[in-house]
Amino acid sequence: MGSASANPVGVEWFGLVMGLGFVLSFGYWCTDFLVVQRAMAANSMTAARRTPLIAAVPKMLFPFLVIVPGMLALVVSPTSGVRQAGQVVTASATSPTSSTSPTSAPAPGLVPPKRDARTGEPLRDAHGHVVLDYDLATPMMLVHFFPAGLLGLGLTALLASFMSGMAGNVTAFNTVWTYDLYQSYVRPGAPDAHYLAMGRLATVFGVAISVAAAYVAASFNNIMDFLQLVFAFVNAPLFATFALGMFWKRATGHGAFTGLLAGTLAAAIHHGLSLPAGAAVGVKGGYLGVVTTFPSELAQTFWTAIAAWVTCFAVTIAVSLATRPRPLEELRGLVYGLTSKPTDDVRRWYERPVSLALLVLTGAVVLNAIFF
Amino acid sequence: MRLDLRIPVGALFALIGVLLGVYGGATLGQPGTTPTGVPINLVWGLVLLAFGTAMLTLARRARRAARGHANPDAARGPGIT
Repeated sequence: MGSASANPVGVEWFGLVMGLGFVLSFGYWCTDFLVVQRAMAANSMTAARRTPLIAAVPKMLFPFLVIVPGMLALVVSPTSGVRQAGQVVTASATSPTSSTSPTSAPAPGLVPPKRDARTGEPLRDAHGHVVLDYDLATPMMLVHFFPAGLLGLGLTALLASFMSGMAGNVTAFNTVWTYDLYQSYVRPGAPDAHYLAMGRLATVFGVAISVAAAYVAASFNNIMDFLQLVFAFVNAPLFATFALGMFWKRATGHGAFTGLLAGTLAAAIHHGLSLPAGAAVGVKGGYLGVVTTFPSELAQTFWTAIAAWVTCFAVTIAVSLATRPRPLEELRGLVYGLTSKPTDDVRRWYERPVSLALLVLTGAVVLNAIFF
Repeated sequence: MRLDLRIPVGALFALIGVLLGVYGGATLGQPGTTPTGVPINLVWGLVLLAFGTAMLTLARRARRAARGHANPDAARGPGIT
């Protein structure tokens, strides 16, 4: 972990801890609308404070759901355990061993190679290795190991989770646009029917953007890499704005706006000047000229997030100090230092947010110690 | 009237468990139903049924407890349940 060359992601400890551990994780967990939205539906302050803590428990175990099936898909033989002839054909027809390309060594496992959209040939990285399409690991495992019956249930569960996530994100998109931007700044005071129509339009537009984003995501090795890059652009500067807005009473609206703009710009500039090893100039960066290269997309993303956060943090402070502060009276209930601390009206120890937080923290430390 | 979420969740899991378990039991031993050697349709159907039943039992118990709790105070009228 001491040097970037010692691990496959190609990132040293600072980039990992600061980029992923601090900026991207806190950015997602504290500012992402989909996450915060859950807490807003709570029936009391205590319940709202418990929401992210309870949600953190399954999230801590998430790597087992994501990584273990992925590792299994890499090592399991495409024909192992398959007893019926029909399924051998199904499993091996899409598996890498059936690849007709003579130059591609037959890779074990169920993960098929990523193919070039135009030629149909398997894609290769800078070292000539076949690039595997990790997004298909879970579907391939489902098809391989589930019989009719459970396979239907498994696919239904996958689709249901996609739809739930999609529905939540589209709702968040049209709420933020219609209420927080359009109604507040573009056209205040219009009748409800107008905002309803605008909300519906925003939904159509949001879905269209996500379809377009799917095409961009297809050029990435896996969807997590792309997701982290989007978060580095959007959530990383937002987290600096949130943190300063909540804990620093001198922060001003002008400072927040300029900082947010500068942070997102810094992310774009950093991304535009750097390129992951072996990647082509385009959506993966380098569009402003390649100044530096990173060993992997994730390393580039972590540093993009750090650049965005630091720029937003510094610019917000600088502009806030140069602009007129808000009267303290207006900030009561908004800034932590000016708000009365909530009291927990619960009886049992496990209902208190503090004890839950300690449990979650202990769990995180233990899991990190085991799997370091 | 507040809906106890355990009722729809339990009912859904129990129903899917019954469907999957019955299908798994009926097709036991037929080719293509056990790719890994485990009659997974039957096993997972029973797991889902057990989870659904547990949810329904918890909801039923909570409702009974609430009813027992509410009765002595029934003179104070609705709104406390």
